Amino acid sequence: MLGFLGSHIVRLWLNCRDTAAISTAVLTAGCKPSSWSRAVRDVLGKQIYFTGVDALGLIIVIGLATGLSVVAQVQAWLLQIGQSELIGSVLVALLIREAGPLIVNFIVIGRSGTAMATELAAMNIRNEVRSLEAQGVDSLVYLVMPRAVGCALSVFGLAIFFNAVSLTTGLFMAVSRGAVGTDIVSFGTSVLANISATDIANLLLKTLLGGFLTGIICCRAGLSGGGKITDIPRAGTSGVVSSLAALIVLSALISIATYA
Amino acid sequence: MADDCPPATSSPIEFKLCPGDTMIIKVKGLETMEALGDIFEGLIEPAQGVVKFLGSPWSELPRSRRAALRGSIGRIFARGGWISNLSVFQNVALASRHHHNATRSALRDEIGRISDALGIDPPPHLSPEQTPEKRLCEAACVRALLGSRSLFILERALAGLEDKTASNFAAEVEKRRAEGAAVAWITDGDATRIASLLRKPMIASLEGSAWRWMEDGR
Repeated sequence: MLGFLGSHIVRLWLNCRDTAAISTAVLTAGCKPSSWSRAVRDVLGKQIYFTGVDALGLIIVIGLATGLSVVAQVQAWLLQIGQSELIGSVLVALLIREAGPLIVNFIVIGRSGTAMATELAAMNIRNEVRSLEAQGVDSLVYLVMPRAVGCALSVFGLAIFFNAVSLTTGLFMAVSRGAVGTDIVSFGTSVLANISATDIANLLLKTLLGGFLTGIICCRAGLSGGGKITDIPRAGTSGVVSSLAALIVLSALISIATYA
Repeated sequence: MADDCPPATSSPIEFKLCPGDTMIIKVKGLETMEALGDIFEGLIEPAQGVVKFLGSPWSELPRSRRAALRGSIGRIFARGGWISNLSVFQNVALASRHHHNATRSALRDEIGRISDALGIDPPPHLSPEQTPEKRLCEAACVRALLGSRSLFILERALAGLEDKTASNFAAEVEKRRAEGAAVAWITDGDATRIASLLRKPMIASLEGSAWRWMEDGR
């Protein structure tokens, strides 16, 4: 039992250490303008397109659904207890701080994390990573860095979009139901007035760092597989599970650090 | 592969390729061919000894320097070496876009010029999987020749090429030799056919771990 626990803890520690090392290497490379060659920028553009632009439709649908259910319910409850002036702070805490970044990160992990991990695992199996290295194209700079950065920027953009869609939908839902004390101006003012600098820092950290970690973890899962075809689905699963675990821990730590 | 240049020597496996030198190495099997190419590029550490490129051991160079130096090596891979999520054209242009920040239009012109010199069509905008084997072999030649090269590592370079294209390719390689590039031509086929296309090549063979000089072109 102790041995079982010990081996899991050691493996977890090694995973965290490797992820931290790759993240540091990627950040160091990313700070050098010379790393951003045209070839790398091509990959970054594609990553933002597939992770960000391609996911917009899904984000709109989920944002609409969240707005319809969450915002309308919150408004109804607050009206019942006579605290409708708290709508701004409750929505900021619920959507902008927690649910928005988490939902968007979940979507990106499900859509793009799996794709990245399996794509890189397949490249590894077909010896394509070796071909890149042989041409002097550093796999860390060409494969990992633009994917991680693209993921981070996409998650941030999608989170802004998600929050805007869900809040706007919720507002129209409340107005259409004729909720007492609800008008566009007071709703908007209430939400905006309750967004502090800490909330913005929280949103930035959860989206940029969350997306970046997803990119790093999924790329690592893809590139660290063996040479067998069965390593491809294994890399996908490993990337997604590790990214989800890392995201939840990261999200909790950021919330504690910014609001405790 | 050094920039200071005494004559080639013939102990177990010890040689230097100087600017303008060509060495044809006859080996058996694709694995040996690829491994040799990888050792020349510093991708694989030899079990013993050291491989130097432009005077520096690969193992002592920082990662970014190694990558930059590999960018000056034109290589034809025995098994293609194509990146499947890029088109053949993008594959050909990849190293130049990465190392020299070349624009698409400049690359189109340069690739067109090399293709004309070889007497072939430019590489297609199709994925490697969709491209016929002959076009892939031709595109591999364009990829190796594109950009400024200090060394060529050519594995089975003539396989799949028509005779006319093969001699045009050898003529282009000779031009680059005259400009100072060295050539390591690795083959599992007829070394004399390759030698007939080149000026004064050295010829050696590697069977198992036995290295044998067959001809010192100098």
